[in-house]
Amino acid sequence: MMTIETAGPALSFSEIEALATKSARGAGFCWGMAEETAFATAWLERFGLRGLDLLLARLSGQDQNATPAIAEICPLMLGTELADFARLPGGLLDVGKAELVVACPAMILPFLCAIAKRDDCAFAVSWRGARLTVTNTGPVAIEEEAGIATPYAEKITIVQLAPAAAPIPDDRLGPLPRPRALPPSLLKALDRFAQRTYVPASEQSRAGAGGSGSDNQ
Amino acid sequence: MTKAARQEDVARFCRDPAVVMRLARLGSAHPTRLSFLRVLLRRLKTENWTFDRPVWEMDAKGVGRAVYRAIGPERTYSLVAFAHDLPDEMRSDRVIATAWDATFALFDGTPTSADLDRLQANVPLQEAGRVSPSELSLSRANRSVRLFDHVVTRLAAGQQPDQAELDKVGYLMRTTAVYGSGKFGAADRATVAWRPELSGPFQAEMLSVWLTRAFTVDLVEHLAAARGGAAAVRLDPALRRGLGVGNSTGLGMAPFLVRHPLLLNNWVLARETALARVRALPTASAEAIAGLKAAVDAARDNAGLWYSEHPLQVPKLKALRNDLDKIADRLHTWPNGDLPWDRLWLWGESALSLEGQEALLSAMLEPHGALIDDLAKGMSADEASGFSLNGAMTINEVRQHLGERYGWAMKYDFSAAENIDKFWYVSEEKLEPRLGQRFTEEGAGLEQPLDTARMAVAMAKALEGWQGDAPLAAFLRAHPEHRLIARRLQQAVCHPYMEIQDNLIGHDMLPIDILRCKLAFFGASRFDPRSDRWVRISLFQGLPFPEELAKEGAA
Repeated sequence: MMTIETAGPALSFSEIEALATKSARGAGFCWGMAEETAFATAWLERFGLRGLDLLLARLSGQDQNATPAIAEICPLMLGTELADFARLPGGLLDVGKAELVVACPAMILPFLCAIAKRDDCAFAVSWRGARLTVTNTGPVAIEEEAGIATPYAEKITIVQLAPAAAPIPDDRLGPLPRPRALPPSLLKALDRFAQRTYVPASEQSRAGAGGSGSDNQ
Repeated sequence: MTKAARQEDVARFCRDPAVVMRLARLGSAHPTRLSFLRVLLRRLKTENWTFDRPVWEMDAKGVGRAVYRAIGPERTYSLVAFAHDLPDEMRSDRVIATAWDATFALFDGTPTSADLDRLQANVPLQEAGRVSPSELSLSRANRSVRLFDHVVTRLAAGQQPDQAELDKVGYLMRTTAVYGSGKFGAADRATVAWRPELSGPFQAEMLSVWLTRAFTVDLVEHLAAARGGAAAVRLDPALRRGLGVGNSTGLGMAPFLVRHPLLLNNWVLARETALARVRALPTASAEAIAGLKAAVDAARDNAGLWYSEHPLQVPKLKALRNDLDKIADRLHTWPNGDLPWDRLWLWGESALSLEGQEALLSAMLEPHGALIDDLAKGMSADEASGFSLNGAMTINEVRQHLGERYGWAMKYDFSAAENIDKFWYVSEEKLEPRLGQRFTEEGAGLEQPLDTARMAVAMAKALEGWQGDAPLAAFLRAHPEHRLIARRLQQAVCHPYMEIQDNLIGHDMLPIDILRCKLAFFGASRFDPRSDRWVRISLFQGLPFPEELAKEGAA
């Protein structure tokens, strides 16, 4: 039996970043990686690539099965490493290409965009069911997209391209798209991770903020 | 002199971040002409914005709704206000409140009746409702009950309220939160920051509060008329002028300054550059001298009316009043030689308390609009641009930057209890930010990353033994837990004023110092702490109302 979920709220990009940071932290990421997660998730949502769904898939995988094998194919970890090592010997820009196995492969794309921005280049990216180019402004020339949103682990191939034309400056990108209405079940599932970052209420806790005296003056 | 040479000349008068970014000094900040509400009013005036109130639907109990419009050359913004009948026992300024005297949204354009209905269903719920990208800001306010009732009673009887009562409080209502930038579904900042009128920091929020001020006066006059009928009078414009909009602020603002380091840097840099430009002036014109004296007089009046009973503020106010007297005295024999402004400044640094020095800064900036107002344009930040980490930086370079930008942190011994006495966290209760005592309370395991000094020290320690020519990328692969502070370190290289150079988890850290820094940039002029982590202020006190703006002199 199929149930159709009524659309929930459309989160702003600022709220998407906050939710991604907190849920990643709640799932056990350190704060620095939670920040990277927020960046990547918001980027994907901005380009209609369902970042929050991918994030949930990634965090659920971690939660249920915290083996090293899972961590090794984490797209957030691999994405930050690609960006961190890009300019170094053996890095993506030095070699000009990379092949890696990664879960939720689309979550690598924001990191490639960051490299493209910083180093003025572009990348051809492909995995089973997906083929596209990533420039300094985002994903372009999407030739195959059936497998773009896969949560499964795939072997992805990245090839550096010279930029075909001058990169488009960010401030001429145009307005942000209107955020999409999100399924409440998705938000609830991510919120369960985020809740882990809040300290439960208590009398003592309640006294840890606010002023003395009545507000009735 | 070439522009580059002039800039270099000014640069030598810039204060050291090690002096500026200390909590005690940040906590003595005064508003300046670069404060956000001043920037707003200057624009509204020079661009000849007009204002109207197309909707006023209030019953005799002061329950209903209103719309206030600000109409600019290109775009219109509308404050949609809802007034409620709030029982006294439900009145709370804290985040955990669930009902308020009045709730507001700043609408992008002119709202239709369908918009008003949608807002009516959501805005009074605040965090429990949703707004849309057509809204730029969501806020709420509570009455200052005693003053509000006093004013209504007097006006209803055909009399004006008591000046002393007005001075004591300074506002009829105070906002308890003003949300913007994508909160609860409102428009993301990036969607509107390209508009000149919204490109500066907090301009939508300041506009919302300024229009709210007009609403608070309209509401008391309405209630007075409902009660007193033909006998009721309107509030005397001279008395009205002295009323601002209060704001009740707690810990939520503090994490903001730490989480938006590029923004904080740009605010401080603008102000410091302004001071440096003034100090670099070779002479003092008659006009500027008169302007300075007027500013000092205004500061003395303000300090006279500034009221606080809090033991933290009372000695500071005393020091400020003494210092302002000293400054006024000093001006009798000033200007006194070349680089007169710099001489005055250096005297102030040696003779005045922190409150006095920062008040002197504000007064020195005041007559120099033509010289410094352009700096307001640099007070926003492209925070995304500083995000991407450079993994190719070597460990040697990291160590060098740690020494230059975080040397101040290395003096703390974080194994000592008093240095880790506190922890910042988010409560399950309405996600209220709170400050806990590490050794006596639950929750330290869920600490928020505001312990910048401790993080810097920890990274320095973890770097011991690493080869100097190894890349940061390799260190972070082995130690991802230092990624956050590594990013801050790289941002700090080109942003010297981004870091508060104090231990934010130490036992003697006062959160109100952080709050005052941000509130001074907003333009708040009187600070009344209600605890070490809660402060009341007033915005727009003494400044024009919408219908007065066109007739005013330059702001």
